[in-house]
Amino acid sequence: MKRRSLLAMPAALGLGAALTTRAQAQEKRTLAFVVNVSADFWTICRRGIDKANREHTDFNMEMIVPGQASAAEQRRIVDELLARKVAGIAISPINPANSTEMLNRVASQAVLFTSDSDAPNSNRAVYIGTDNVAAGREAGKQMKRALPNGGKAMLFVGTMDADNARERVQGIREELQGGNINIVDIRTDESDIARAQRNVEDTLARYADINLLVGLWAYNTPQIYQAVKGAGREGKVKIVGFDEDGLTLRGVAEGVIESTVVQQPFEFGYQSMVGMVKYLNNDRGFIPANKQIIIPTRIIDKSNVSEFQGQMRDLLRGR
Amino acid sequence: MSKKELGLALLLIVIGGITAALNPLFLSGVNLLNMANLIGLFGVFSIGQGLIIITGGIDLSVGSMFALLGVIFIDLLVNYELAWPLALLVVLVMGLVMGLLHGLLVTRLKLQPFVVTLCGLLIYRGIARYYTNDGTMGFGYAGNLDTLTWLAAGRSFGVPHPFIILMVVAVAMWVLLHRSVFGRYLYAVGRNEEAARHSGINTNAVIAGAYLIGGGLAGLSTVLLVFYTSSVSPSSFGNFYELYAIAAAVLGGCSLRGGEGSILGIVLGTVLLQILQNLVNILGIPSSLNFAVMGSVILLGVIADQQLGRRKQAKALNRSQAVAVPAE
Repeated sequence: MKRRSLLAMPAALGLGAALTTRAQAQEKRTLAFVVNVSADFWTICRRGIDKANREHTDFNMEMIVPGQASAAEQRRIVDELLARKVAGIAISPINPANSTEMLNRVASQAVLFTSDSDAPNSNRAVYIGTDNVAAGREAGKQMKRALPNGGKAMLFVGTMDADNARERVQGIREELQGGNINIVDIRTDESDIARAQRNVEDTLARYADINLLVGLWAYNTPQIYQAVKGAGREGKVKIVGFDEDGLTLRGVAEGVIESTVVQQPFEFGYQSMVGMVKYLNNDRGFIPANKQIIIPTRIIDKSNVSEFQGQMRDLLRGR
Repeated sequence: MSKKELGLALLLIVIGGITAALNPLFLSGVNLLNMANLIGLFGVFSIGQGLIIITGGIDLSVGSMFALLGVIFIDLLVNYELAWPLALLVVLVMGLVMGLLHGLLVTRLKLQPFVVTLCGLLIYRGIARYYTNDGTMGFGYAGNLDTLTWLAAGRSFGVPHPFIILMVVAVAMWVLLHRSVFGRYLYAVGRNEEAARHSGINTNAVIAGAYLIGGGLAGLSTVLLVFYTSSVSPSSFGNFYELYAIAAAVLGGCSLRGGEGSILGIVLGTVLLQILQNLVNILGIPSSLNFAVMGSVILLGVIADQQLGRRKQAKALNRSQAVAVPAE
């Protein structure tokens, strides 16, 4: 008996905590932003959500990060949110093509927005985020700028079964079509950062004549930067990247990295939350006919990097 | 060198030979030094894992320890601007404390090592993510770490420091395991804890000691890994690394039942794992097949080892019977 009560204690504590938060939540309607995996990208997005919450204090806005980047984990989170009767969910679906049923269940019980990664087959009210094919085309333009006379390029990414990876590659291939830049291969690292760097090291060891390395996910570009510097091949091997990791920006400032294509996650968070508030107030005029609000990417290169670094430092400070 | 280590070394030479024949760049200086660096990074904590496995235990928490100690280490250096020797000390001591905690839970409360370290895996990962608010920690905006960067990730006479550190650790642990009383006790406890206790060995202290060393080596590995990647994303950093360590130890002759294994074997096991990953890139095998290649080669190697071992055993048995019969 004593043993059981000891075991029950933490559970009771947890339950108590959950009950008190629920009591508070009932006063305000809740809007949730469910992301796909933990990353700095989403920390910036969180700042956008915070800004929206300051403007709409009658709502309770939260961001939920799954423990693992798996569709199953995301489904569990969504089920719990629906059980809590939240008013709206913005989600970056991990496996959009096969999550239609789950997403439609959300859409039937709450407002559903998709962000970062779209699920066009679902009943989502609107998608707010990047067009990753267009982002790939932008990267393709930067690759051409880095190699005006053509050459050999290698791409690096976490996994190719993620939609944004496929779409970015598709955009890059579209842009390079008919040109003289040849994509040798795409190496994946299954989100293991150390393997991301070893992939670059091995590429540099294997191809003496490689001209350009491209990092498709946020952590790939800094690993390319480090491996190229470690091999002493900066300048000879050009780098184009995605996203705004601190090291990536440092590399751009040093001139080791040509440029990086950045998204605007702050806007994802802010516009999703403000949009859901509008939607709940029956103001739906902001939704375009194709139900996609595309937030354009920006190119950060030597000309604007220091200003952008300052912005990022401010956004990420005090987290 | 035991038969097991000899077999593993042979497997390494065969695989290395085939890879080099297919692409001579495998043996280029750049590639070998890159690989030496990675062997150093993965070898240090594999040795710690090996010691724990020799006592009949297991440590599933090392990957999560890297994430937690990694974010704390970077936080101390970048945000608290602590002097690097102090930050280094904090991380090493925290590793030792975590290891000791595992050891005490296993020996004093008689919990199963699998359960203790599985909980460690979950808890440390969770704390690391909470601590950073799910953000990536990196050296992106920091400077003034040149000495430490050189120590942990630099090269001397062209040799990467992680590899040199592994050599130092391996020699120290070799003396500890194969030439000291403590090492004898480790094997004794792993073979039969009950018998060891009855023969007067303080088995609790020996087992806790193995976890303590494992934790300390994990702390050291954290520093090396952090300087290799320069950033730590708490949800994925070090994921599954405990399995690399377990695989290296078992490949190197450690038995998961305890009481068997050697330092040389563990190091060779680490080398094999790193070569397998390197050859996927060097031969241009699709990245998606990475794990499949690793799994297949290990499986084939283990099957070959087992079959050879069995045949030898049968031969030995025959011989002893042949000797025994005329004696009667």
